[in-house]
Amino acid sequence: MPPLRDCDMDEDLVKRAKAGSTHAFDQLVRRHQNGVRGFLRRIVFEPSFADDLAQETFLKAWQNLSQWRGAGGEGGSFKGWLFSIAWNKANDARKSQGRSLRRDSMWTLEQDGPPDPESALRARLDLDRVLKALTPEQKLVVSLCYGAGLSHGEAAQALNMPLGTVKSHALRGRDRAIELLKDLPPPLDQTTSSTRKSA
Amino acid sequence: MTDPNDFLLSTLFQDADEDQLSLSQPAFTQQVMARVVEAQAKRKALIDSLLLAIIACVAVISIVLAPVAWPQIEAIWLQNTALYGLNEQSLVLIGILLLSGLGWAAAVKD
Repeated sequence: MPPLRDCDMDEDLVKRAKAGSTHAFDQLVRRHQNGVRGFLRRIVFEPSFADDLAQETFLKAWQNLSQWRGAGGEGGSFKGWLFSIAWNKANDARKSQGRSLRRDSMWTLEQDGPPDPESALRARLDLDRVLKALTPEQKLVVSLCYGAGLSHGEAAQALNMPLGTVKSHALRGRDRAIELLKDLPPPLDQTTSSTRKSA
Repeated sequence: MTDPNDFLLSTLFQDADEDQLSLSQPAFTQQVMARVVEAQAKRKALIDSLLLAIIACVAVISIVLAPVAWPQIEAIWLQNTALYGLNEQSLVLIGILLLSGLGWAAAVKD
C-alpha cells in the first residue's frame, strides 16, 4: 500500500476529529504547530503573544472543523485553511488591541528558555535581516512558503490572495532574500578558520 | 529536484526555528488540548442546561395550562382516537415508545 500523502493524512485526522476524537486533533496540533507558531512569530514579533494567537488558532479550528469541507469539497487544503485562521487572528489582534507590530528590539535575543546554540542564533539573526529587507507582502508569502512549507496555492488560500500575486511575491521575495544572504558576512567560526588557513 | 535557492531559504527558516519551537512543542500541545477539552466541557454544559430549561418550561406551562385546557384536550383526544381507531392504551404505548427512542438517541449521542 502506498504511504499516505500529507494532505490525505490531514483529511483522515480531521474526519476522526470531527467525530469527536481529541486524540486525532492532538495529532493535527503536533503536525502543524511549528509552522503556525513560526509564521505568527514573524508577524507579531512577541513570542509569547504569538503562541497565544497560535493556541487560539487551533481552538477556533477545533470549534469550526465542520466548516472545512475537505480538499475534495473545494474547501482547499486543511493546512491552507488553518493558516487562514492564523492570519485572521493576527489581523484581528492588530486591529482590536492596537498592538504595534513594529520591531522595537531584537526579540530573538530576548526570549525565555534555554540559550540557543550559536548556529541557531546566527540563523535567526540572518533571517531577521533578510525579512526586514522584504516588502510586507513578500515577507508574508516567503514566511508561509519557505518557513511553514505551504504550496503557492495554500498560501493564496491562507492570505486570500490571487494565486498569480502569491507566485510573484514568492519569486521576488526569494530572489531578494538570496541576494541579501550572499552579501551577509560569513559566520565568525568560518571567518576564524579561513584566517587560520591563510596564516 | 529542489531548487538550491529554495533549499537554502527553507533551511535558514528551519535552523532559525527548530530549537526554540521543538523544545516547547510538548507544552504547547498540552495547553491547546487542555483548552479544547475545556471548550468541549463548556459546550456540553451549555447544551445540558438548555435542555433542562426547555423541560422546565414545558413542565411549568403544562401545570399552569392543564386545568384550564383540559376539557378541550379531552374533546380533541376523544375525537382523534375515534377517527384513527386508536384507544387510550395504544396512545400511551406510542408515547412510551417515543420517549424511549428519544432517551436512546440522547444516550448514543453522549
